[in-house]
Amino acid sequence: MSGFDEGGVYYSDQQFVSAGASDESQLPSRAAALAKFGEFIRTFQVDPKSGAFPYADQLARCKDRLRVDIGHLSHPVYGAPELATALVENPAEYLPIFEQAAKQESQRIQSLLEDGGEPDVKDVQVMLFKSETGRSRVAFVSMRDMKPEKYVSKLVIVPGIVTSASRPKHKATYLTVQCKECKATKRIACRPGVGGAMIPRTCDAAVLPGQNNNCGMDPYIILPEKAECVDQQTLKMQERPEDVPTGDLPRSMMCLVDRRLCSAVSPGTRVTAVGILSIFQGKEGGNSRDKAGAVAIRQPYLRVIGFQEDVLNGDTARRPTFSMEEEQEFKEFAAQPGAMDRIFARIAPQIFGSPDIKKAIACLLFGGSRKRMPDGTYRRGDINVLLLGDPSTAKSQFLKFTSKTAPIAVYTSGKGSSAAGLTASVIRDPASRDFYLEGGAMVLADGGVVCIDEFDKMRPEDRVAIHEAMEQQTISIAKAGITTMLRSRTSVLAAANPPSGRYDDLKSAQENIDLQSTILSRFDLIFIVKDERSVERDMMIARHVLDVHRLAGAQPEADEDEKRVEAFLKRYIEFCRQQCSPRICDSAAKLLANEYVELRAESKRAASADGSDIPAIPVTVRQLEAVIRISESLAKMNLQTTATEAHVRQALELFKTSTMDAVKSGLMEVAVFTDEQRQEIHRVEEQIKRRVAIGSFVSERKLVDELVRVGFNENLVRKGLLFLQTTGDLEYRRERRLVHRMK
Amino acid sequence: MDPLAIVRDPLAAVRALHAARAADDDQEFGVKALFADPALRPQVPILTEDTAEHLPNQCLVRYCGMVADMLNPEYYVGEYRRPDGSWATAKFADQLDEAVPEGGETRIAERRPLLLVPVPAESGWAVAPHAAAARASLAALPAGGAAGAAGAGKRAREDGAPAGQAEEELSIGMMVSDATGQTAADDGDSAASRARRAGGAPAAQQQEASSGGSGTAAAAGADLPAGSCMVYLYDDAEVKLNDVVEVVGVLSRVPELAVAHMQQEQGGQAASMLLDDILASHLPTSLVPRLHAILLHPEASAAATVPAAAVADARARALGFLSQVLGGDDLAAEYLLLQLVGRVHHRTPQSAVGVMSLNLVAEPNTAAAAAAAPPAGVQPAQQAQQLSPLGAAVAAALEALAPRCRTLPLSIDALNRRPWWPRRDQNSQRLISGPLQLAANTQVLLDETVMAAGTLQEVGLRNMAALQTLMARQRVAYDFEYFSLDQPADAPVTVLSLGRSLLKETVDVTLPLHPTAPLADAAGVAAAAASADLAPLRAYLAAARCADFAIAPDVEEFLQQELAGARQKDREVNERTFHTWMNLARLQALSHGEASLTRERWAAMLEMEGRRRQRLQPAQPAA
Repeated sequence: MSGFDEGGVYYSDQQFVSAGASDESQLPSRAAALAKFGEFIRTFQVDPKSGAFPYADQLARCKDRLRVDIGHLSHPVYGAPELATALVENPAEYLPIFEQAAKQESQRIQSLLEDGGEPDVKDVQVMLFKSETGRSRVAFVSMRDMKPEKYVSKLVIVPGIVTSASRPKHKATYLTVQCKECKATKRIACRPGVGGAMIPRTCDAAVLPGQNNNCGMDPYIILPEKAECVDQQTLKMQERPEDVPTGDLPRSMMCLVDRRLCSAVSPGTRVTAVGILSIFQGKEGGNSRDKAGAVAIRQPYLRVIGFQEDVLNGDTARRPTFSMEEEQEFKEFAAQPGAMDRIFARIAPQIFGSPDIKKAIACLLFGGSRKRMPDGTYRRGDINVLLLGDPSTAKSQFLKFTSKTAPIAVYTSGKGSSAAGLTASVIRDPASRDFYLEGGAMVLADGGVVCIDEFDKMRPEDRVAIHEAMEQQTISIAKAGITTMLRSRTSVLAAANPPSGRYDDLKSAQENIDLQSTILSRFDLIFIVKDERSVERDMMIARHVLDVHRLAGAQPEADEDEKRVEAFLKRYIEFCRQQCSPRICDSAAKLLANEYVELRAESKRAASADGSDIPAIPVTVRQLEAVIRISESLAKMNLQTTATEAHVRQALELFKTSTMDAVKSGLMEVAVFTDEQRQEIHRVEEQIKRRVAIGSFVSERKLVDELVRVGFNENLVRKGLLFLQTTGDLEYRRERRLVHRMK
Repeated sequence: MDPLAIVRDPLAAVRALHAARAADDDQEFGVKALFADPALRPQVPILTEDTAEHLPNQCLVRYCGMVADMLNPEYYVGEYRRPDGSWATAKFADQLDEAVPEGGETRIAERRPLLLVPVPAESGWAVAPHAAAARASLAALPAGGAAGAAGAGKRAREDGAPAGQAEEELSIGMMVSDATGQTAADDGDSAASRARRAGGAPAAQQQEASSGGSGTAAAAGADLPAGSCMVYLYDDAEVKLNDVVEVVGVLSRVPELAVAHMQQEQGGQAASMLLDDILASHLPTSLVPRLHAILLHPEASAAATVPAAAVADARARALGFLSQVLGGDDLAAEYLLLQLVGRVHHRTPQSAVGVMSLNLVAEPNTAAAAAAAPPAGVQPAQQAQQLSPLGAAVAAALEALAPRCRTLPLSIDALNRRPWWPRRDQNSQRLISGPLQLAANTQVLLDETVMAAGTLQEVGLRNMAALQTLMARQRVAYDFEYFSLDQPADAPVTVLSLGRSLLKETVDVTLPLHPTAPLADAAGVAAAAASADLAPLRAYLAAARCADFAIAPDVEEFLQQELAGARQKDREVNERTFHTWMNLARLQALSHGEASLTRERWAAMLEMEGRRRQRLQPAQPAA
């Protein structure tokens, strides 16, 4: 590869000439560098006590490439910092030396391994990368700071996102040319990067003394079959969004990769590229007659010599990867006492109070363990949580936090104004002439969390889809006569308002909850959130609003520390979900069995006292499974393999404060439900059925008014409607304005 | 130096300074000081779409526009050593008189290309004076022939020295036919752009934007509004996207670029991504002139302080004008006036303080609803054919008062047709603008009265989401394919609808219109605007919009009690209501020319809100 810096600059000026020329004296000589690189490959160890030599081992394993962490190379004690400096200052000079040294080492290793016989030694491609944590004296350079006077032909480390990739092409490294006249051949090296080759204009074949070289001008022709080629690919890399200052746009940069790096990254990947900032002179205008006066435009590009795919914020298409350092950090975190409490504290820290909901959301984020049954079916490990209650009780904030923190999340509002489907219908309400949006098919993320706001206002079709997704972990799609099932392991975090818009203490739990019990039973944890009238809280809200509006109150947009904590939590969740799948231990199982019997009895008592036989929230085997899942998720937070009695106790406590509380809150209304009233309600139901034909729509308001005019109590009419809805006879449409008779 | 000589040949002045510089590595060498001379400014012609053809190549021009895109920095040979050993500069030019010596020593420097476009959605009254000034500025230049000669003298081209624009275009045509063997070559300058220029309003351009974006050489630059300009920045001046700036710089035309684009197109195959990238930022200069910026100023804030006495009068007149438009509805006029003084004062991650989003509802069975009758194209400047008469009338009123106003019909068709949010085309590496890429202080009017039932496609839904983000947080997410980046916006949104708006989730203030007189139509509003002297009103609104605002600590104490008390009384009052009230009170005070909030204004705001709530009552008996 030497020799690229010769010759007049005519077509492509790689600017490698001046690079490092000034401080050449301080850089090691070629021979010294070759020896040192070899020594580095042979002797480098991460841990001097171990017997592992990462680079020598790597060379023995894959004979044609060597990935070197530049952080290792520049390590002041174990590495070779002067070589790292030389590589940074004049990579075009020293990288080939490095590759040559690697080849020599490869040869040495192979001849050691195979006795006898000349081993077939391949050229080694050295790929440099910088790991996340590697301490290196070579700092990251953002595309923004890459100034030509400072970085051209230097080694730079640039983070970015690959946005497009060309098809790989062949690029000649050596050309063989032949003189037309004397048939003498000559081997010419091509410049690396996009550089071409210089073909001499006159034949310089050795001529016999006394004879004139009269091959004429431009005698050479290229022999294509004798060219040596490598693969080469052009990538476009864009700045990371976090590096872009406000009010600016991300910049992009051309990258050139060759050999083994071709087709190694796909568009959309976040990478940290190590490369040489090079310059390409475009043939602007393409028209030679006007070339003379044009100011020469130089296009910068990065000749990449190695990538490191970013592990942080990894995209969702692949399994997340974790560095050793990260794993270590996570394990330390989990081993500390009170780790669980610290996780709870990091859940939606901006929301005041509601410690139980925060615990529940933590459980949902970590999830339980998925179990395979002997018959080949699966039991879900995902935890579903429902928040039910008054408006403006920070329900939506919890949902937003969750959708932000979960590795994969969809946020949607049942009301449809932010319909998550791919299409939506605009529908006009004939009475008010208001328009509504009705979302199309919901998109559920496999392995993620769906946050559904206004769950009660969701379309019945969507609710059915959710229903299936919650329990069977599949979604069925019927299209063109074919029904397929897609996997959809999704946890659901839903928020719903009571039908009257506000939790009414005077109504029964069932009236307040107003969701079919089949759906309710799918939720592992149900919270009833009430808006408490507290002057103190109101004052706090007022204070907060005033702070926002005071001119000086312009808050910084989430400070660094907060962001770091958030990022850690996100990664930790990802790690736990991937690495840990705890099972419940025997003693804990026994404890749970006893408690379950107790719970069931309690729920029965609540129901029978109610006079009805169905409790608002049934306690069944499903709930037992729920407690198991919660225990598992708690164990997961500590990275433990078994859920202990302590975990089960905590899970039960959580279950009792949420779901069981919701069951019990039905107790308040027992007395109202006399036999007389039940008969009355039956009559109401009958009347409703008479008025609404199957499949027809009626305005709810109108229906209620009519029945009241006939002499029914409005409260009872509403109850009747409710029962018919629970049994599936009726459904609400259009934000509860219309009643639709189903059967 | 003689100002006129500098204007005619700025590069000579630059090179003279460079030759005379003190230090060898001085990159600035006193250029700014020379060109910042106040005596120079009046002599500098203004570059606009109209004057572009009359300005000679490589003369000094002024240009005013919005930063619509920021491209990748470009490396160029900033300095080169002549054979005699002296250094020469290549700053501020695309072409040089002499060839850069081959193989000679060079110094590479960086320059930043910015794409400037005429300020989008600018109102007629704001554009007209600028255009007039541009025409007048041409007179300062010597007659066409001399100017042409001056330009030609600078051009080092073999094929003669064309004297003037006509010849130059001819030569482009010739070169193109040389290159392609076709005679009817169109480098993008003739038919298409002419037609567009005849079409006039830059807003109309946005309609075409959807067709562009394939990024082929053929479409290069064709998606840009007429009068765009590629500006090269040579220093680290801080510029933000969507800033409105004035640039003083050297105009440069490079006909060869059109040829290069033609060849690229003819070639058919993608030569190399590297070359594509260069071409993307070097659009044909006939479409997009190039300007090498020497000076760059932010838009001059025109807001002179209006005397306190004049404020009351101007406010009353503005209210009267708006009330007339809205059929005598004083309350609606009051809210619309507040909307006109809205500006983002500061932001939090979730919201922006200082603006509200307003929904004016033309209730069924009222005079206002009658305005939703079949639309009749009246207003020439906007996409009138899609607006209802009511929408057109309000648009005309806003345009008469606000410097910038973007009117968008909110119909299924309009929403589905194309993305409204700006996005980057990965092929051309340029930002494809959308109607929501706006300069600061632009009023956005959404006419939902033209909405009908139907299905929103993905684009339509994302447009709705973009509108919601704009209304709730005053941000627009720009799409970069693998991620999106929020860019701050400052554009108060007003929605006109029959019934509550589709965007009810993000609307802060919903107000049913109760007109007492027939509503004005667009023509009527335009006539009223033309006959009245609106200049003091515009000045008053501009001053109110720019004014600073503060809340005194004792008032804050009082407000806290008020807010908490209101919530204790009425549980429907929540945090969101508080925010709306605070914004309204702020705007109320600003509209009276006051810089701080007083208890009186707070009370007035609550009274106003009370009247509004009363109007909402009968509409929703169930709520």
